[in-house]
Amino acid sequence: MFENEQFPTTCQPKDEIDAAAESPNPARRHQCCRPFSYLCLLSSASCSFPANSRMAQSQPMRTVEFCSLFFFDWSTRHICMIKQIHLENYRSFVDAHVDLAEFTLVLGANGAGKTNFLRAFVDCGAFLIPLLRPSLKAPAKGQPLPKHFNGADRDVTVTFFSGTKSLPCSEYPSQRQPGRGAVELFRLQPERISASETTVPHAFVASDGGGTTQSLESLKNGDQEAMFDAAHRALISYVPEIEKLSFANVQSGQKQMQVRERGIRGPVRADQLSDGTLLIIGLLAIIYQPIKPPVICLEDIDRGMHPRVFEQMVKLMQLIAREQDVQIIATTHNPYLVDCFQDEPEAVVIVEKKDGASTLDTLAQKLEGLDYDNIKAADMPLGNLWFSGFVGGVPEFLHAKRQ
Amino acid sequence: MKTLYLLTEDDSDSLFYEGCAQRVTGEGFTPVCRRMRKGSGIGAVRASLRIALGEVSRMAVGSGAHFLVAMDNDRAPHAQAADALPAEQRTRLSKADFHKTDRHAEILAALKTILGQDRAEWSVPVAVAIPVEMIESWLLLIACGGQAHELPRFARQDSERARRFHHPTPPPPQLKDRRDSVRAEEGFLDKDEWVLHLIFNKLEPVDLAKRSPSFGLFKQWLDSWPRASRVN
Repeated sequence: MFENEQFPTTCQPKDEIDAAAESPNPARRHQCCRPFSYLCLLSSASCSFPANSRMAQSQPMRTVEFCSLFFFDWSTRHICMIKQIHLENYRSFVDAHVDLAEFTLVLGANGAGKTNFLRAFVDCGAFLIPLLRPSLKAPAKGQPLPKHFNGADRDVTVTFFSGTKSLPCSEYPSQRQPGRGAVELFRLQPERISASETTVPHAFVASDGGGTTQSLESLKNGDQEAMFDAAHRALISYVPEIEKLSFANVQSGQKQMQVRERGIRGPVRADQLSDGTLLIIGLLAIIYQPIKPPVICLEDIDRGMHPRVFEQMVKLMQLIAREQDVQIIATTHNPYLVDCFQDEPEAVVIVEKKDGASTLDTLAQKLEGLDYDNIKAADMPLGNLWFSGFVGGVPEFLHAKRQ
Repeated sequence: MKTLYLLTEDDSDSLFYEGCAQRVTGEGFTPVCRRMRKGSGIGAVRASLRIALGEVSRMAVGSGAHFLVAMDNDRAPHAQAADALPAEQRTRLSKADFHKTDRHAEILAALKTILGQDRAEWSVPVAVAIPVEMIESWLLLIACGGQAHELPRFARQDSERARRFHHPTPPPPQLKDRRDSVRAEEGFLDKDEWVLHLIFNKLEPVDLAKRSPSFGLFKQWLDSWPRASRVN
């Protein structure tokens, strides 16, 4: 499976972990990959949080039962983060590679290949499990991955790199694994977020936003109030009109979200909330859900959000990505969102289509060719730079008319 | 074919200016289009110019790159061109319009800072287009004839600014209102197709320069491009 060498069973030697954990340097302590969080996956098992783990310190109960799921200790994932992806003859890509960050923002014109870029992670998601968790086996191979339109006679390969290790994929997994996968592509639908749902103990948010009610409700009533409170605090801070989020019984076993709004006497049901508010709730549910995929892909992350809200949301997601070892890859068309990455241009990926082939570059690479160092950020923020076309990733209107 | 690097406020504008450059110089260009965000202010224009000219200077060797920057005058009252609003009418402008500086002078100053004080020594042929009051003024003059100073000053008849300016009489149809009706009368559903029709079938640069001082200034810039690339 692995091209260069077999992945080690642990990413970091035990004595190194212990030394890091005891270090007075917070940055060094952060590098410590002592187990602290668990991702539930496919079969059945139970797990205990280690007594000194961050999760254990924040949880009153140290043992959690996960029915019909097996747990995945992905504390090691921080070191095994996907650092680069190489796409050869895959969908709209002929030969493109790019570095990835903990939170990567993807820009590009409509039709440039942003969604295909995200699909690469989803199509090969099941194979990423052993990359992120070396002791687990890769699933069997199935149908070949889709090729570029002009490349029927060439091989298709999507290769993921994590440090010195590489994982080439040319096929889909033989069958879709049930439950939460290693990668999830979220395209949130407000009506799915607001739907009433049957409560379950170990819920997760589905790709369309279904399961949001289940997931938040299970946080609140499933001994994870601290997580629910954090999501709740974020919500009322981003949407100050909301005073409280709660869950109403609508039918036997079914609950629906409702909120208390300032100046409104009765509770407002979720299906009466604005799309923007629902999308904020959906995103918060994704990043605070207890069963998170290691790689979260988000389409149009800023949809329906005020620029000052997504500025805060990005900071929160960057923090969660860093603290909880989740890798987030999100697309946008919003220059204001690009401005939030002023200090991290290497975390912004620009997708462009040239002669029928999608290409990948980081914003940092694009800036290297510009005299951007001599520009005041206030006069030309990154979003403005992208909008203007100086770094590519913009539509070419009027091309046909010029011809 | 030579490269024409365009820095404009609208994608459709770049089509118009490219066509003008083609008609005035008699040469065809391969366009490279960059955009400024509307209303982003002169600070952003200066920053855009610096980055754009950096790109142009890198492509200049062997590509015959030419640079064209365009920005609407939008009632800036102290514009260099004689079709700017006369002094006696400036007091009726809104505070925001009244305090706008001369955009041609600002851009020229920025160009001199980047390329050097002596225009004759500039490494790239440059043209500056500041239509008074906006690109629709030039389109209407090409389509309908007349003099620039006879044109309205605002974009839309129903805008609050137009109403205040014309108070106590109601404002007549303004530039974009008139553009829409002329385009409809000429049977063009597509705005860009109409612009291309005007440039290649109706534009007489020398005549338009006489009727519109702001177009005259623009034409002077295009005329200053190296003679080898110009046809009179």
